[in-house]
Amino acid sequence: MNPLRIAPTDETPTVNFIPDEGKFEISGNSYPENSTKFYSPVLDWLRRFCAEAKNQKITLDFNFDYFNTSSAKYILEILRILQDCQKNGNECLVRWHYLEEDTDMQEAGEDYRDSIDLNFEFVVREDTL
Amino acid sequence: MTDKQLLYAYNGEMSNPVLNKILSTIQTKLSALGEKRNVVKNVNTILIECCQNLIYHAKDKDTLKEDFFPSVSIYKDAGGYRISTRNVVAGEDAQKLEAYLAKLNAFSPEELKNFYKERLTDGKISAKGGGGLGLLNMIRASKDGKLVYRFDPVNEQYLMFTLSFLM
Repeated sequence: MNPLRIAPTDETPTVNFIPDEGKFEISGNSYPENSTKFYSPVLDWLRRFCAEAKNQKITLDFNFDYFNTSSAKYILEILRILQDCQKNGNECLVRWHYLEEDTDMQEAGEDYRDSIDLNFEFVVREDTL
Repeated sequence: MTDKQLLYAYNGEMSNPVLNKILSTIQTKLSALGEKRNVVKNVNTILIECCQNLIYHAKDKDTLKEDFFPSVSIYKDAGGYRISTRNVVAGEDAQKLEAYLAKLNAFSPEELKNFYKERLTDGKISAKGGGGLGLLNMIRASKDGKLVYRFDPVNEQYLMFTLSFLM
């Protein structure tokens, strides 16, 4: 399966899914006007990957600056697919990155952790500005 | 001093390119006021919801005459930042919206959190790509857990919906 790579824009995140390494990353901003249009191909790719994955270690890094509430629903959908992937015998870890003082972003990650049966790791990132 | 200071106001057609300019301007203005990065980020996160609400709920082109353009403004006062938006809504939509806003305003912070989670996990996305969480996000970000709103008639069909909250 080929990697999925989507370059970032002001409103959409970098998507970098490398299936052979089990390393997936979504980072940057996510506030497209139409989240369905942006996330549908991402979900389709992930579903295909999970249908094939066997005994694989998978790490998904979320490293957002901003995301809107419609993207929030798709983030949950991505996590649900990963949860199914784990039920099929794969080992999945979600790493949720946030700036130290950004309690809203931290709480958003905690809400996901509470809504889904996946291992979460919270990573505090340095403010580079 | 309790004077309100207008930081920014926009009136016109709303789109994501316009939103990006607004975010960039607000970032510059708040940084110049010495606000910490997380305050700037919180204000901009909510502005994204506000402006995208205006995009999703913009009516057909025939309503997009100058008097009906949506607007967004942000004031600074002693209590924090007050964000205000205006857009045209159809009469029948106004009734539903008013009932929904009254429901949100009656919720406690805990109830709002639970309702947010319920809405987040319901899997519903509108045809325009909205998640139905914008107003919930605004009220959760507000200092007093309240959204202030009014509806003023503009003609037989439409009302001007004004929404504001303090954060």
